[in-house]
Amino acid sequence: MSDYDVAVVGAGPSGAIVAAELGAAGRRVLVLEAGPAAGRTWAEYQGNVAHYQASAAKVPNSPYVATQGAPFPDVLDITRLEPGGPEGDGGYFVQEGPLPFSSDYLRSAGGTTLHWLGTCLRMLPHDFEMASRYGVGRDWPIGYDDLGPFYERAERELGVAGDVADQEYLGVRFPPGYVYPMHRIPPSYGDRRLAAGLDGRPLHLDGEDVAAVVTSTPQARNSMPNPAYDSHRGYEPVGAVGHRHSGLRCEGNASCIPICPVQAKYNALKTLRRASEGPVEIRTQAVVSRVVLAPDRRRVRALEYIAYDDGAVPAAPERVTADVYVLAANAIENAKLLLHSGAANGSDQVGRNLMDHPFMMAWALMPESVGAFRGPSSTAGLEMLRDGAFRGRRAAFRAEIANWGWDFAGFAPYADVAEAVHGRGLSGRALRSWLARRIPRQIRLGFLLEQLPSPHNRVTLDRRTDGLGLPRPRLHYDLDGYTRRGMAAARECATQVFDLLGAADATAYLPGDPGYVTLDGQGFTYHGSGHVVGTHRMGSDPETSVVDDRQRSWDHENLYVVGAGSAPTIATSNPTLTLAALAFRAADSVLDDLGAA
Amino acid sequence: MTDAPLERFVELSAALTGFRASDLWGTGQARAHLDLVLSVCGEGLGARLLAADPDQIGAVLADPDLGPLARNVTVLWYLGQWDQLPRAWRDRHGTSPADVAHVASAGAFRAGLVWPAIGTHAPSADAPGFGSWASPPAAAP
Amino acid sequence: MRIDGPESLRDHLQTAIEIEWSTIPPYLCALWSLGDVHNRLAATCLREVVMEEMLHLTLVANILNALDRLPSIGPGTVPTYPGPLPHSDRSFEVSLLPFCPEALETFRRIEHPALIGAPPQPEGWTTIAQFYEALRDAVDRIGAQPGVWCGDRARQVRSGQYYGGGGEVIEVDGREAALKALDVIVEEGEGFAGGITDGGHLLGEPDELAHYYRFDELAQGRRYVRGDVPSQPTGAPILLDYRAVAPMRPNPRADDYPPGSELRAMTEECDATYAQLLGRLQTAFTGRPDELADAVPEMWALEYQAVALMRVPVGDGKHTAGPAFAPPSA
Repeated sequence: MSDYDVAVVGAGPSGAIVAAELGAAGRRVLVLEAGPAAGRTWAEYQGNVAHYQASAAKVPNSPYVATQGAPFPDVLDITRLEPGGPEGDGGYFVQEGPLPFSSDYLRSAGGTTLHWLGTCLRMLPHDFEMASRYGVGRDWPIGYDDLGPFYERAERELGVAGDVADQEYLGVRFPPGYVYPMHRIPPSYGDRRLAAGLDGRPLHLDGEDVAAVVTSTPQARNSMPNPAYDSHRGYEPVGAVGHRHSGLRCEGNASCIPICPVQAKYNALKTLRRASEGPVEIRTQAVVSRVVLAPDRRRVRALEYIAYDDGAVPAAPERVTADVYVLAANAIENAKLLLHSGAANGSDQVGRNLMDHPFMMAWALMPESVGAFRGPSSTAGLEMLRDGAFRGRRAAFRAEIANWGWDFAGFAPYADVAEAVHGRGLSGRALRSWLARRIPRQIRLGFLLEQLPSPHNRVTLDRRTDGLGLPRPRLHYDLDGYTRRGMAAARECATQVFDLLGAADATAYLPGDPGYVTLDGQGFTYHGSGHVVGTHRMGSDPETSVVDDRQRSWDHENLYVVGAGSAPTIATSNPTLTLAALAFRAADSVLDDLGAA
Repeated sequence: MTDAPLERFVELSAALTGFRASDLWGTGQARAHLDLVLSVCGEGLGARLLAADPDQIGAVLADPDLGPLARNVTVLWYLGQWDQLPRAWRDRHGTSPADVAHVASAGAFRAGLVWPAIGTHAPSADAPGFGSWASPPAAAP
Repeated sequence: MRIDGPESLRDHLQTAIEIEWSTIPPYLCALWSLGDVHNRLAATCLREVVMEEMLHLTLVANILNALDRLPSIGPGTVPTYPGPLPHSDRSFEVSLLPFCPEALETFRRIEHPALIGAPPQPEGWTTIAQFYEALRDAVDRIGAQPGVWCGDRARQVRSGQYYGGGGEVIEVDGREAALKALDVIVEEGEGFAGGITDGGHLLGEPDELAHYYRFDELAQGRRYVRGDVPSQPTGAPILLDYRAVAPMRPNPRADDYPPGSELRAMTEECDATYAQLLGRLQTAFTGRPDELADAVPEMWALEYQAVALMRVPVGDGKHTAGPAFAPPSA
């Protein structure tokens, strides 16, 4: 008799969904979360908000304090790597180069959804067929229509606000009568200004004309419920954990990243609350250190984990057994755990094909105010370049239209104030007026570029260890010509967009930037998108993939490895909605397995 | 509760920032900001700063001793953060342990004047309500 | 004395609108004076009470609209402070005060449960409970008459248009829904079936106390826990930091300050926001329920302006300014 029916590693969105679904079916579930429970009470959560407010650098992880047992990467650790120079060893990752992997994540109950933006685009049908359609990347073992019903479950769980009519482009389709749980988040005033200047105007890229369209972004953010949802049963927005009256609508706090102070934005703490209604036990500060295989290696026999209190000597590893094991610890953490355990790697693909959306910004000053720094970080995007014949030779991309001026691009408005006061010597009404005339005119595009899976972009184990003596992730990362050609196209796209808008381009890519890359003498700077993808890809062949299309390990019949790591390609949508859909699919499969047992 | 130094500080700050004195009082940060400034520059320079004439703000800013302080006071009100004073100033007046770049407090961040100056509010604070971002922005002064 | 016909019932429901609104400014002054860091527990309690009062206001508006009378909230139907609650027996006055024992005492009087044996009382009532009992009786009787529920359904505020706590809006299409709405108001205000809670409970969240007992908790400095009997809370102590409370002058007004002064201007700006908010509510309750959503940004704006006022010293060495909640001129 096992201790539990199912043991889940990780209390982020994937783990929370699997736990909630199995718990709702009456299964006894244990969730082991490496990080702290921070934020599961309202007082703790507000403590995180205050921590962010008092942080000097308001980066995505600034509200959250790493524990000794579960360190996590921070974008402040990223440094430029020089050929032949030392490895990047400034943070949790050991960066081998040649380029820095520039994304972070969170090890905490709720996972990285604590600081995500909440964008919930579905993948395009062609995204699942990259190899057969464009001769690059990989095909997925499933297609858009296989995932459709699971996308719907994910859109309910995450509480997505969107307008179906806006989202039916490039082959994306919905069943007749389908609506999102909530009406779309109102597009910002800036979105409307950009749409007025861009919609229907041609962009000339790759020798072709493409009509520009500003499209509202579906997002996991509470909006006005759509009474037509769920065959007119409607939808009730889900409020904050520990304070259910909070966050029933987005209040425009304009701090989605790094923390929504009212939890109008979905985070996986909400799914953990749902999971807690079933026989689900959630143990935080419990780091799984090893997946223990049975002697014949066909099954997992136990998990070994270390419970820790900060400041205390960590306990000796304990063992827990279950009928089915689900790793849902984030793509890099899943790979690290499997490599450390010598498990699930018959294909030699564990840790390989690490991908992110290289995030390239372009920014400009509009002739008039667009009301920057109001509302959610982004409420619309340019989506028409997510697919096309060009994908045979260069990366597709989408562009988010930012509502917060030159925030990440130019440290606005902090740098503007410094320039005005220290640089220009302004004071009094002249100072106030200079800021008021400049900052609300700032616009920024954020291009999320596709990256192809490569066996060389990979996670391995470094000999250096963390606070519990576990190996730190060692990353090899590069951007190939396919992605760099996409960056050049994105840069060209930005130039044309700014021309159409009559905006003064202020974009600058500096050779000293950690993410500075070149193509044919032209330089671009990328950052991370926080989209950690591809280290245990799914496939239809055990020789070349780690998990099958239900995310079950080919090697061990009672092991599932779930999350964005299972994605064979990254496409251009941010991964959370898709990994949530895949988590529902895996949960169904686990239930089938348990029923048959 | 009449507090002459504090009142003088607010009057001077109003001239530096372009906001009404009552707006500055309304942030709730006046006392904390003055305390921070005094902890950096000490009583002597502090007294000189507070004795400065708010109607002659150009002279204050041009003063090699008071100018850098006044600019830092301005940034403190606008961003809730303290910038380290220029090296030349520190060489002349010595270095205070409080004179390091930092966010003064969570409350000082929330009360930053840059946000109302550009027609909005500090991120994560004073949210304006659902859908407010769709309406046209307030006109610049 | 009884409410004797549909027209009288409508008049008394309009009174209910005025009573519900008249409680909100004093509660808000106490809430906003608490400061943004300390006293979070007390602030949460007060904020939830205010949200429930907003729900009650909306529910009464729905009943009145269902009876085909347009609610009025604005000039002539919102109070000045200090003053008695509308149509009460004038046994106590309500002032705009910062959070203090005197304010809590007034709040407890406002929300006091019906005294045993006190008759339903549509005029000259002592407790709001008596007034609502008379209303409930009238809806029960008069609401059974054919044809009285003839208001335009499009004027109903629907679920989804109201949010932020307090509970669900009930669309009123007849007697049953109206009685249900009145029950919500009474239970959230004075307690469910003589107990301390309002009957609502969600797994993992604290019980929701009726308003009277929320104020009683703060006055006694101790939380109620499930199973407690009225006036004897046995839960954890509530630590209140009165030093963090803004020392707002009682019943502040714009003309407390000289014309042309900054404080005069600030107070008038706050009054203008208040007038705008009332105008929006009037519009929302008289045929444009979608506009209720637009009232939310105005409520927030009012709060931020009021909180700023409460930090500005008035120069008497003791007090700060505050929001006047001046009734708009017609």
